[in-house]
Amino acid sequence: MPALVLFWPARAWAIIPHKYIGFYPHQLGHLFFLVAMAVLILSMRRMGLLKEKGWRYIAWSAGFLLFWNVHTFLGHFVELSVKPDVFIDRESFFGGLIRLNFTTFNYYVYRLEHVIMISAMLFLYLGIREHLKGLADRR
Amino acid sequence: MFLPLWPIYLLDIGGSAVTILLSLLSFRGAAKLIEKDRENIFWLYLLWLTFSLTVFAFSRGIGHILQYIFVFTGRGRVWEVLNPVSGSLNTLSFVFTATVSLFFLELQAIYNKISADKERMAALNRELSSLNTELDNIISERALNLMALGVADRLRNPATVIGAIVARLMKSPDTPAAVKERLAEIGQSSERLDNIVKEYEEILRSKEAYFCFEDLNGIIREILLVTEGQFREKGLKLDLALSETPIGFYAIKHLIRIAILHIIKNAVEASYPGGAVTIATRRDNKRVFVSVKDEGRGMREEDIPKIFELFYSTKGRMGTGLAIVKQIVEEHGGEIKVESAPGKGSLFTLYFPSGWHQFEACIPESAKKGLTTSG
Repeated sequence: MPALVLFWPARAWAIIPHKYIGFYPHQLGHLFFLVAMAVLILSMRRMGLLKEKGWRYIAWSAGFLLFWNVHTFLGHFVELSVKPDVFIDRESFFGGLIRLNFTTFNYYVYRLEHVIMISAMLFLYLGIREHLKGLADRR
Repeated sequence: MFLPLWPIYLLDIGGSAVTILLSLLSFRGAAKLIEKDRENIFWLYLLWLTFSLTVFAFSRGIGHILQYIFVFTGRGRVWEVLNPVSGSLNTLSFVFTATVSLFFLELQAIYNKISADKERMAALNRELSSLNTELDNIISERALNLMALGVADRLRNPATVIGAIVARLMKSPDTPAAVKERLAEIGQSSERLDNIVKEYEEILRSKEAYFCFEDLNGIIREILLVTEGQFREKGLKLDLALSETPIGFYAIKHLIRIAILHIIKNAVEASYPGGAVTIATRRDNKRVFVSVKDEGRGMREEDIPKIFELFYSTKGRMGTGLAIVKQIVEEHGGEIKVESAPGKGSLFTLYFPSGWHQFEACIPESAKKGLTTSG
């Protein structure tokens, strides 16, 4: 079998079918990130850490990151299906427009992903600040 | 219908900047946490998590911001070259953050182990503290009893002598009647004194205790739980040669525990760092025994009998321990043997009868009622 693989190679299908190089690894990265966040939340819950405000904030942060991963994972597929002709004057910061249809609406919503990301980072910061406060109170 | 693109652009640039800022603030906070409490594994985890998220925020945010700079300054082609690099870095930072996050599972295992160790330590501390209190109480009570018995023994002799002399004088025809009356009073007082001494001895000796069928190996394992720290502190090797099957014998468990604990503690104290202590249990037809051997400083042959005397010590303090150990062993119908030589260590062997009938005489009647089997 190894000899067959070595000396009679078939097409490896190591192709990049879309405009983004490494689209699939990127999407797999999102899935991995998503699973890791879910595991993190479950572990924190199982360890009884969620009784503390600081860890609760961090769990919220992980929850937002999980949501962000779902959002962007789907958003990347939507992005691929958006045709270039829906954009008007795209390279003008204030003049650029997008023609609205079902796909472009989804694309528009996807591009607002920073709202989720900022929420996640804000909760992470609040969690750490809460831990610092708790440490100062104990002392 | 058209929608403006600028809210997307603005949110992308502003959001990237805010994400970078918040990640940096979080990383700084986590660094402060670990600075304040270096031994906390959770803070270490948060430091790594915030670091990975900062890497992620930078790789993503800088990529997004650069994209706008290049596109809106008419250098879109440069961005086309950089885009795959930025995308790859972005993917790598995801994977890095996810991997760090999954380390939390490992952290959970460590946390569980620490929690279990903490519980074990707390249980050991409770056991140790109760054993120490028990030991202190028994040693002081028994030392007082031994002293009281000694005093009683010394009082009895003069009382008996006084009684005998009074009796002789009472019988003598030369003794005047008036003196005889006084002598009778002295005689009665001497008799009362003798009775008080007898009653006192009776009270001390009739203290009841309950013998139960115990496993000698089990008792030793319990003791080793509380002494393992002392072995570790001194870097001593413990050679445990317990018999494969349980060794049953009748005993008052807490007393036996104290006696064996004392012998083991002595062996640890006498050992040199890095030495070895061997603890073995065996049984033969009539007896069960436990031996504790150390490789410590040892004793001269002439000192061996003295170590069981009350208040004798080779350590320069009030030595009551071995006297109490001997008393406990004898109360169990057993005996204690010591072999020792200077520089060669000591071997203490405690023998106990394996059968009930062999030390029946030692046990109070009320205690015997609770026993149904014989070893």
